Amino acid sequence: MSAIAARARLHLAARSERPGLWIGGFGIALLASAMAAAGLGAVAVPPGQLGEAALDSGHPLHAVVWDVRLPRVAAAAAVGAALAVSGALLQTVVRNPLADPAVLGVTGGAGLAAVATLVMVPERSHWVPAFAFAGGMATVGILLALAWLRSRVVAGPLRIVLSGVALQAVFFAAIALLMFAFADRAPSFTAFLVGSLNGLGWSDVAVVALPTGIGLVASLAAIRTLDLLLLDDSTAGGLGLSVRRARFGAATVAALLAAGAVSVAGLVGFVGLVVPNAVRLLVGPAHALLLTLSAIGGATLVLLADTGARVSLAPLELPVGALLALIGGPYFLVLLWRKLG
Amino acid sequence: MSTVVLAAERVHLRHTGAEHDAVRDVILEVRAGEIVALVGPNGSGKSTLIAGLARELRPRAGWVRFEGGDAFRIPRRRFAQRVALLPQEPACPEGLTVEALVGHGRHPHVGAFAARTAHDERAVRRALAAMDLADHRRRKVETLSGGERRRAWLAMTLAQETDILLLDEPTTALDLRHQWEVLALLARANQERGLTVVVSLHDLEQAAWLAHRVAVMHRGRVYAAGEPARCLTEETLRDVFGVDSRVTKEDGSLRVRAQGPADALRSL
Repeated sequence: MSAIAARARLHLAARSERPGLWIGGFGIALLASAMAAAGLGAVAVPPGQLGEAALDSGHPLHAVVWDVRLPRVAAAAAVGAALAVSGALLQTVVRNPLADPAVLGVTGGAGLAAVATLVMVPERSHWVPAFAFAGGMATVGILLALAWLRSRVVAGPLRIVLSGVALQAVFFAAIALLMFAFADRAPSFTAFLVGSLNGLGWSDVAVVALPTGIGLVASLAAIRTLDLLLLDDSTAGGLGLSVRRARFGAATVAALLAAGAVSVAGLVGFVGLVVPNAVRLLVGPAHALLLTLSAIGGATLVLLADTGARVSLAPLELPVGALLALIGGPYFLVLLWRKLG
Repeated sequence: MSTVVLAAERVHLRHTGAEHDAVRDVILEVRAGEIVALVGPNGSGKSTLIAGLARELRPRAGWVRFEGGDAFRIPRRRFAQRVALLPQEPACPEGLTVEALVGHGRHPHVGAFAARTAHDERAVRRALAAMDLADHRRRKVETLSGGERRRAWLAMTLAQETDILLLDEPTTALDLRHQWEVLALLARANQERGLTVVVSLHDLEQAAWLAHRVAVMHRGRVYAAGEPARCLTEETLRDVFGVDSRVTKEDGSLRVRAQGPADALRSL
């Protein structure tokens, strides 16, 4: 039994040295799920016709593919990539695999700021992403302050996660109160709280694509620093890294990524938990491959979940966040028990 | 006499959240090309002093000097190009290979974006070979034995190619052969290229063999410092460790035979 496990591990180790294969494989999965997402629905578009329908404005299915399906595909991919990379970064920052923008309350903080902007100053709705970022950052600030107040090193394995869980609960409650008080102006309550990609257009894609793009480039540029953050503070400091600054920078990028996703999709959870942990099992903790595959894998997961949410009970549409939570919740429990065991 | 490269000047050090200073009013000067061993009982402040010298811990009072200036005012990376630190119990992420860990030692020299050069690769290979780990370089650090893991961390500090090494109990968890290999490696690097070493050790005979000077620490202070033979006396060992011992010189090296805790044995 253990011999088989050892051989499997060897096999995995050997494969992790071929990053091209991994990226290619993940890329093909992403492409396939994007084509499925663009093709499936009330009007099915066969894969062979997708390109033509998208580009030729005279095509009978052009409106369906170009105006409805593709923006949603692009938004889903961006949201998934952003949340997965955000989760990977937060896991490195707090050195704990249980971290995730939703678990730590970062999406809650961003969501609260976004909802507050929407209902209190509706004429400033174009500021939603910026305020969402501020809300996410504030949450990150609170968490890091809590961790540093107690000790120089990262707080014990569970303290920071539990703090995040508490913060997320508070933010949830505040969002619910706001929406209750401003029921006439609020966006759809359940859709926002659970997370949904329903009815997104190209302008929404722009809102999520910009912070996601910046965040992905920034985190890929910092892979060496992130690798050092996995060591303990003394070692990383001894190697010339300013640990606090690096940790704060990584958390900032994580908040930016989460805020972009929250701005269009609401409080989608667990993507940042499930994807990086699965990727880490496959290729190890080095950030070059971890972040790349997390971005592709996150995009794929949200695309698949969103397509499933659209077509499984059609014409009824489920909120994608609920489906993801059905996968992610149990996963979180497994991680938690393994971690404590 | 060569110049002082690293010095603690009346340094008081306290860990975050602690209520007392772990190091009190310590003066220690380390000269270029010198090996200084810190010895003393558990909790006497050896690790804390090393953390201070490595500018991991900011003194509450006093100064840590590096080449005459305030060590804390030098950019971290430049400091790390000159001074390498081996912490006592470093944490390592799961799934990291030995080679990748040792490669981290090149960080102060490589920069965030530049590619590693042939020289960097050579430094990593040399460090792996010196720590007897060439065959293990593809293994995951968490699958190594305690001693192998310790050597992997040592290899990382060696790959940093600094002229000053601060080592917190480098031989703990190593078997006898690898203990002496580490000591011999330090002695050789010291003779051949003037490597400066500050090292905390529990074995007094090893400290006496390796170091030009020892500093005996006791309750956060330096109780005695100087040549090993002059410092490690029966009297000092009784005062500091609370053990009766017999210290002799055999074939030029110091022999320390502890004869049990001074009070505990007597009460038997």
